[in-house]
Amino acid sequence: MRNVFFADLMTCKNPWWLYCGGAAGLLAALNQYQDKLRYGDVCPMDETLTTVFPFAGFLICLFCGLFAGSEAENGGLRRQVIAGHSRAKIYLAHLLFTLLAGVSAAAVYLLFNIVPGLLLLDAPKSSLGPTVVRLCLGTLTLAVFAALFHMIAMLAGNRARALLLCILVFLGMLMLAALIEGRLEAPESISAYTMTVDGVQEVASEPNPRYLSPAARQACQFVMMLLPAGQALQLTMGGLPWPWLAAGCSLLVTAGATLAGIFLFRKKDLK
Amino acid sequence: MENALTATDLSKVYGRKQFRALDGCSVNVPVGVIYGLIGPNGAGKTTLLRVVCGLQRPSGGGYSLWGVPHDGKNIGPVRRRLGAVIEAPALDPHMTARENLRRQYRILGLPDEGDIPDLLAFAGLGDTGKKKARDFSLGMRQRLGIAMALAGGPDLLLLDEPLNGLDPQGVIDVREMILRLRAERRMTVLISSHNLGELEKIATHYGFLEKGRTVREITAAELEKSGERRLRVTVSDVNILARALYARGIDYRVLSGNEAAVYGAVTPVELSAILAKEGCEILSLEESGETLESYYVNLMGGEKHA
Repeated sequence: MRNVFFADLMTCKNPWWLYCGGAAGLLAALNQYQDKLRYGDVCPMDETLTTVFPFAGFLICLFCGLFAGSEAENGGLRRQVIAGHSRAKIYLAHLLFTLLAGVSAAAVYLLFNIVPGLLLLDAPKSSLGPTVVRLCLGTLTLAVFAALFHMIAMLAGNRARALLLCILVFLGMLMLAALIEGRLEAPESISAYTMTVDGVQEVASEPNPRYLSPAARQACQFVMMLLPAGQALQLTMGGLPWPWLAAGCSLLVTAGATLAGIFLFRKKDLK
Repeated sequence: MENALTATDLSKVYGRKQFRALDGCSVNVPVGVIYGLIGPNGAGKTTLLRVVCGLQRPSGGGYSLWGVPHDGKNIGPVRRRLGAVIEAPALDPHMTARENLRRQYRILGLPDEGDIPDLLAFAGLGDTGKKKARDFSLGMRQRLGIAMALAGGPDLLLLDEPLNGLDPQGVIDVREMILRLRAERRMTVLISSHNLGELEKIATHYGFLEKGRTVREITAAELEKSGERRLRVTVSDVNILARALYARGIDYRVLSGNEAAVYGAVTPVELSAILAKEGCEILSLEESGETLESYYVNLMGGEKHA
């Protein structure tokens, strides 16, 4: 496994994911600074830190499609199998490489976001402890992204198919997460305006039909925790309601996707 | 003689339609030979190589490498004695020849990269410098693929259609390379190819495949012996020739107005003497035995694959 992993590292001559991470982190900080100058807002430097997770998730999606897809297309996987490495070890080595790429891209994003933030933006609104917890949960979310997209890309067979499938799954997950988040954010009651005959408006509070029942709300929360895009979205919007459960879900989905991926990859005919 | 590869009743079934790419295929590749795998398109040559390399799992039957069964515990280390180029060479197009070889060394866990220049020189790629593999010609890619398959000094080299698409010089280069491998490194080579003429120049053993089955295995020496030798002559008068040979009980066949094939133990000198006595002039004479192509055509039914 070590040999395959180090052989993968040799392909990092042009680590585009690090450049993307750095550019996005810097742009997010500069965008906030621009808002601060234009509107005189208070812009805490930690406000855009957690946007790293959906972004790094997307980079992992692209990375998997391009790297694992290329390995299948160029015959890299064939070389490793012919060299006598077991398929499970090849799969795990590539997964580790994918995770490393995702986490390193996130780290570069944070670096390029924090350094200009310290110089240009206001003091952070969160204390260090909760921020560290959120970053740890976010790292687990990246592991889920890596496990899912890696599984898709390793089984897709070629680069174009791998990339397309990964992007479609990412967008699908993001849309589903946004939809569920919208329902979870719906207020319990809404204001109803009534116009009387003499033109006077009356405001009455009514129950919101889109407000989820407690059972449905819990189910939606659970789905959000299972979906890496849901977790990333919730981290960006302020945090996860049950951090330990979210961490457990991340580990469960990562392990499940990895085991399923290894099982299917071992059965796959390589061409 | 020990076998590097033994496949017994190997089968491979694809898809819901249960297409049988291999259907009871058996081959025996002795150590130290150049084994030519011959068959029409769809005979199962590439599938056999893929299965032997571990890229695909057999649906039935089995194979062993140096006596180690494919599902045995020790098959992983044994596979390290194997190098292969199956279909297109497995290259990273963004890397140079040297970088591709370095990556291959890393995959194999070989710490000493000292012999990479020798491998590059052996493959005739010593002067490619910083040129990326994507800019290589087809022949250069093929040779780099073979060089990568040779990393770590394998004992068995599997080559799938290594001459496909190569220009005449490329064909000569790859052929010479294979002959040198056997001569200098005592390597066993298994080649699948459609190019029977080229295969005949290098192979010591042949295996004929059709519809996923082994039709026959034969050595080059057996092939040589199996065929009837003949003299193809162009003469001034084919009627005189026919009369003279008939009178002496020599088997012959008239091919055209002034051409004939003479069979049996008669030598060119004897034939010249017979015809000179009868006053028939020989315009040209060609001696030939059974060629791989004629053997293949007789065995498989040439018109089917023409």
